[in-house]
Amino acid sequence: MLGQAVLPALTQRQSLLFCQRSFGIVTLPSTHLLIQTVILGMLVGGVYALMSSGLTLIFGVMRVINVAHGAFLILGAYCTYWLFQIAGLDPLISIALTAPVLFLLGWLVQRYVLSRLDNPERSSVLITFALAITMEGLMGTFWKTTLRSVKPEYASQVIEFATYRFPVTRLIGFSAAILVLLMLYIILQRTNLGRAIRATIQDRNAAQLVGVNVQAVSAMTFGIGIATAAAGGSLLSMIYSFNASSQTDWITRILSVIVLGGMGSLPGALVAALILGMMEQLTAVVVTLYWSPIVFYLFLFLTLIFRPQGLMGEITREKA
Amino acid sequence: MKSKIWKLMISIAMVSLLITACGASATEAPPAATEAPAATEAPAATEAPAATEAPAAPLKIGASLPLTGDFSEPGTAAKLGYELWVEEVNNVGGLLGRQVEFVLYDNASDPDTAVADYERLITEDKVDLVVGPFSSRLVIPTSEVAAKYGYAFPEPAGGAPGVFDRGLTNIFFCQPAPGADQAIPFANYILGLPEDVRPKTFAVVSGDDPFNLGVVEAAEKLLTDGGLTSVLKEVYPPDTKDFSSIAAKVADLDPDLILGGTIFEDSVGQIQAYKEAGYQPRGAFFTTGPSLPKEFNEALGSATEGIFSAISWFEDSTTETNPEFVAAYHDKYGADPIAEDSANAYTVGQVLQQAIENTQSVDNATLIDEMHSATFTTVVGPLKFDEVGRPEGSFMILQWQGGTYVMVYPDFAKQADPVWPKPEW
Amino acid sequence: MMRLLLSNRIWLPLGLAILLAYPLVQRSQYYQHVMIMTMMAAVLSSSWNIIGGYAGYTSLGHAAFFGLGGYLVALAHNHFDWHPFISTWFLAVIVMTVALILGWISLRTHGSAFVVVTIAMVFIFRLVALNLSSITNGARGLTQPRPGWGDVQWSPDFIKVPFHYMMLVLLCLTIFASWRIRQSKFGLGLIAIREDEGKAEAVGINTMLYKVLAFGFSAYFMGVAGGIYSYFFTYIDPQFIFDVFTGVTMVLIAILGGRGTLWGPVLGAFIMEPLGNWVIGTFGGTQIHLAVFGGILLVVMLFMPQGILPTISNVVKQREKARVANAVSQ
Repeated sequence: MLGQAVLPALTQRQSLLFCQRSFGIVTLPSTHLLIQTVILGMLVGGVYALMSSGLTLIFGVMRVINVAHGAFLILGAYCTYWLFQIAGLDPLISIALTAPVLFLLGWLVQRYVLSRLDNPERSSVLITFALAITMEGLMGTFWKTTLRSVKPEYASQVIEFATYRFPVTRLIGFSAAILVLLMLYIILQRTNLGRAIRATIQDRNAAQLVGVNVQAVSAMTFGIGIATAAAGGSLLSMIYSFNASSQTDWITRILSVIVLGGMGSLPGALVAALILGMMEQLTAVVVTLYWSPIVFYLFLFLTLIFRPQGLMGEITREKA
Repeated sequence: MKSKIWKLMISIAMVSLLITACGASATEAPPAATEAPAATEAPAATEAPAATEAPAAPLKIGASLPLTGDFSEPGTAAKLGYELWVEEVNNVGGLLGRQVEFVLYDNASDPDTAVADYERLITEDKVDLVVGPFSSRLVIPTSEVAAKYGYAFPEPAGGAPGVFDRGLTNIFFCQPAPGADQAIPFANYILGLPEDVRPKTFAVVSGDDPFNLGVVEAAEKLLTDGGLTSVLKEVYPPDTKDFSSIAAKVADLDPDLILGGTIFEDSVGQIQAYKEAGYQPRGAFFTTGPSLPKEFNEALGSATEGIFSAISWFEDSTTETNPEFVAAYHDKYGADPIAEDSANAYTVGQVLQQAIENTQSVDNATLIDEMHSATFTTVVGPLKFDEVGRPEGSFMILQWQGGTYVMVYPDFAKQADPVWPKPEW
Repeated sequence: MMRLLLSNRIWLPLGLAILLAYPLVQRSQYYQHVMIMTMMAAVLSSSWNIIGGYAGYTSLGHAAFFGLGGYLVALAHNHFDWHPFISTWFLAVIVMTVALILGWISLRTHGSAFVVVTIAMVFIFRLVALNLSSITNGARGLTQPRPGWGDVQWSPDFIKVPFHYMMLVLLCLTIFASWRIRQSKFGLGLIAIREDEGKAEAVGINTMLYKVLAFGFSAYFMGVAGGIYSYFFTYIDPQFIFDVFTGVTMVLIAILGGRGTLWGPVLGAFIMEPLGNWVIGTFGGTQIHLAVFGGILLVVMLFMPQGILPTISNVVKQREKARVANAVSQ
């Protein structure tokens, strides 16, 4: 708007808003590009928040780092894809189908695999990692390495507002993420199950003492966590292309989000997701796309070492 | 004691390994030789149907193609070309009276698997001859393997500068011109546009792949020398899927012309991202991608209109042996348009066949000499190679018009006039 | 009789003799290749065992040191003409130094956090290797001249033999080092850390120092192996060599054979590596081998968390106890 109203004589490119300057490998983007990038980053951050919510909840309740969460995301994405291909089902609607199925799957995994571990804090990473590669192998064998994505008709539409572009799929993703996070919040704050979950997060032993069935709560939580992966996967399928081996990229991203946010904290996950989403897009634009994944790895590494409780987590007294 | 039991276990394991190893060395059908734990995709042996009973020993020709992974589309197209050639050769009695047996592995677009495949083909399967894979990225390491054993290496798709500047003499790039020269006709076309229409600025957005990057960098130099300004050069990792940030950057700079160094998925990814970002260039050129007639159209629909690419061959070309190839292809595979890579693979077969028939020999050293000196009649036109295997010819420029592509430059191949500027995608 | 068969004096020289004679007897390139890879897997998991088995800190990121060794050797070969068989032993010291530094930073974390940190390490290494293309040639990878010595290039028939012996030497050294560590006070300290770090600290062990040293030592042999490996294949690129899956396989092998034991990783390697090759060969072109590896790891962790060797020796011990009890009660 500034470029068009105040300086009508100059073309859009020439207005101050659109100047760029480079310093070697870093290019300072024009203000317009900067704001556009921040917008894109926040939209994508909302989706990251949705994907990480399940993971952080699971950690909070069970102290289990579910490294297979990325694989479940991709599984959700594939289910959405096949429902779209075979039945023409809109990816948002298919969440209603995929979420219960994945809930059940998660519940089963917790009940029969994870509960057998006697020291979940130590061995959960390795076991869920094994689960992740097994799932990747199976999905890759059945569905090959072809990249898939779901493209409903509104897929490449864009809403323009004040010369800034808001891709429709990402807007939908962001809104859906906020919706699901709200739902989670309501479940946690207003239902009995939610209270039991929060109690278990706060102090597992104390919760057990007051009569909470921690085992059942763990199983339910894991199920809910994986169900959110179904929702996250559906959004993923609309916005990105994926195949079985994409799960590694995704798990590193969401691990970084929950670590930065504070493991076990939902609001922390939201804040961290927005921050990391923006940093990722900014790095791609200011430096180069090649370096943008490093944002996640660096934050992960540095946070775990220097501030393991993240932004909003509690300092846990871990048994060494 | 505990330690003794462990040692017993280990010695049993080792002895059994040794026994199976010694025993199996006598036979010739072992499981695949691949790398250590880090191996990802791996070979799957398939044999061409054309191998039939013949009085003389079959002539084994081996290849490893990317049938899955990043290069799967052009890789599969190449497979069709090779297999068609094998079938035709066998129908007329084979080569020097021997039926051709084609041994093919899938390297899943992974260089290490490809290297292992060629090692296996030469040392285990004991093929007489090999033909190359798709993409410079795979050709570079696998040609070393062939050179190690003295095998000729005619290949359909490895034309990057890095292929030729190692001084190997067994490589033969069976397309009209090396990769770096692919851009020359396009640069000439752009520089030849009238002053008022000619673009002033351009951007280069390329995957980090030796071939594609080489092509667009050569174009970049020519255009810059010709007076255009480059506003951006972005190189991205080979398996990038999310182009939204690059697209935002490009849209912000709004260059007149975009040069994309792409394979296939990323060409589609870039174009869709540019659409979303609202970037409408005056002209667009992508290295591979637009030359896949079916897949490109399916992925982008009307967004293909006006996009340029360089190509080594086109279906309606009237060069000697091409109409027969086109007819035979449609006979065998149906009415789908033919991909350039199938024609390139077929060309490799033609070169090999003519070299063998000229010299009446299947000895690799003899064939290498012959391939350096003769001129070959192929579906991409007459082919002649220099001392490191670079072909001496020129490419053609295609443009998508009306849901299919036509040749627009240079004059000798022209089927239609080029459209400039490009319609909105 | 059994005792004689099982005694060290018979078995150790026998095993060594088999390995020494192997490439001379087994002429098939493919089987030579498998044996070299098997020995390398044994080296990798035995050296991982020092930090992962003895000290109990599961690192999934050791592939970073493997890859670093590979790159250093390739670069030294291409730029200074240093022959990998010699340079790898020295360049691995650089790898060890890097590991000591990284270990000092990352060993402040424990348990699951540590595992995640090591995963991040591998990815960071890969990204750096991809991006510093002026040095590492980025995604295109580094090639080395074909294996040989001086001006002589080794003939295709002979080419794998020197690698076999190099790897054998490395394997012997690694096992020797692992054994000496285990017998020493240092090793006891590591095991104490694994059992109860708090108490170990209380007893006066400088746990941080011990852990960092273990991390460094384990990286040394990885680096050497990586250097030999890059020469063996004459080609490495970041996507391939900095791979978390390599790290997972090391861990799987060690756990399968018996984590924290001296010979467990070796046994695991001799089982898994040929098995893995067979799976990839038979079902190649798909990703089923990932599912197989993951599946085996799952099964082992759920049902045999100690690994094969300790489980078997436990069974044997139970039987002996029963026998002794029977004998005594009669």
